[in-house]
Amino acid sequence: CAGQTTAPSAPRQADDWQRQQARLEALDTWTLAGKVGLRTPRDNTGANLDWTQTPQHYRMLISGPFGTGRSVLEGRAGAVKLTTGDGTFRASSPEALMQQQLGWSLPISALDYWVRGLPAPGAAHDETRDDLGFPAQLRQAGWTIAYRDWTYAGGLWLPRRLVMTYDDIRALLVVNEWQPGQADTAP
Amino acid sequence: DPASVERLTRLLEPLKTYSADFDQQILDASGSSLQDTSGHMWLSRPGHFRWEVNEPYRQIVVSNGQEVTLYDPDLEQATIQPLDDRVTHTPALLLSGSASELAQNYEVTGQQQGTGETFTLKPKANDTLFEQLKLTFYSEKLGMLQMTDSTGQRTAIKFDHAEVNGNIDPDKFRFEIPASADVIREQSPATP
Repeated sequence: CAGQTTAPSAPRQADDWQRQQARLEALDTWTLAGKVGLRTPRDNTGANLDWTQTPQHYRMLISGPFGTGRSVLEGRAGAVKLTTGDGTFRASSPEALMQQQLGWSLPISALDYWVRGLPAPGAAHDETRDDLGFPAQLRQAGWTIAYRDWTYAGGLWLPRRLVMTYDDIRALLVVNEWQPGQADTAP
Repeated sequence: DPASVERLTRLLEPLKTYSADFDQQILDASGSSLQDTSGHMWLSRPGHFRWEVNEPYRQIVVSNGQEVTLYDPDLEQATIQPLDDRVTHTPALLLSGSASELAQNYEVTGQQQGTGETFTLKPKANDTLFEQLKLTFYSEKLGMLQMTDSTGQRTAIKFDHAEVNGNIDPDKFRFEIPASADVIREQSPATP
């Protein structure tokens, strides 16, 4: 079954974030398994998330238990494709595609930075740090991302629990298993 | 064909309860793995089942025969839905449902490979979640269940250390939702 992340030898230390920041910014390949939850005034959903990322391609499987009701979002150089039970759909941006087909969306284009605890390039941001110097809260593009928990994998401290809010939308991303540097199914 | 339906019914009919470890993989049309989870499943006919995912995260689905509760400890969210008694929509129910429904809802063909027998079921109705369901028995014991959908994606569930017709504590099919959880009631039937 799924591989295990190595348990951290020690809790986070004060300068861990500085020491790993360069490696974190360079990290462009990973596989992660977790959950995504979304709460809006009209909707309250949850799903499993399996995300494979490489420099040229990302793939996110959003599914329920037994893999039912699954959707696969795939992006490659500006072209995005979403495959659901109803077929395959394309658009220029993942956000538009998800909103059209699933009725909800996540800021996918920035998520591959936020999920590493980094601001996305090209947009102003501000940030507060916790007492160990790790990002506590990041504000960018109207979103507020709170880093609630961290996990240690592949020699890096990586976010384990992100609460992302935008007006009355609350998205929760929990990463149960990080495998940085690994993407065995990169097509 | 009738012989396969009769054979499959004979394999499923004696199965009152079933408990096994599972390893579930979701594979894309080219066969590469999109998701790999494992845990334990309990079944008691009719309509009672518990599906507990342990790796790489925790998640629990419990059916008491009327309602299906999905609890996610990470999201602290519980979704309650009526159990969809259409066996074409609830594979787990197929195993914990009545075998006679099988013949009405599926075209069944069977193949023998050594001690393994694989039954391919194609739903007669076309509004189902999967285009094809395969049940594989090894020495008459359920070993694998595979569901393929219209896009060619496949959910393959392997069972291990199975115990058939053992007694299962009824509490397994009841679930106490933690007070802190968001409870979402959905009218649309569950299709676990």
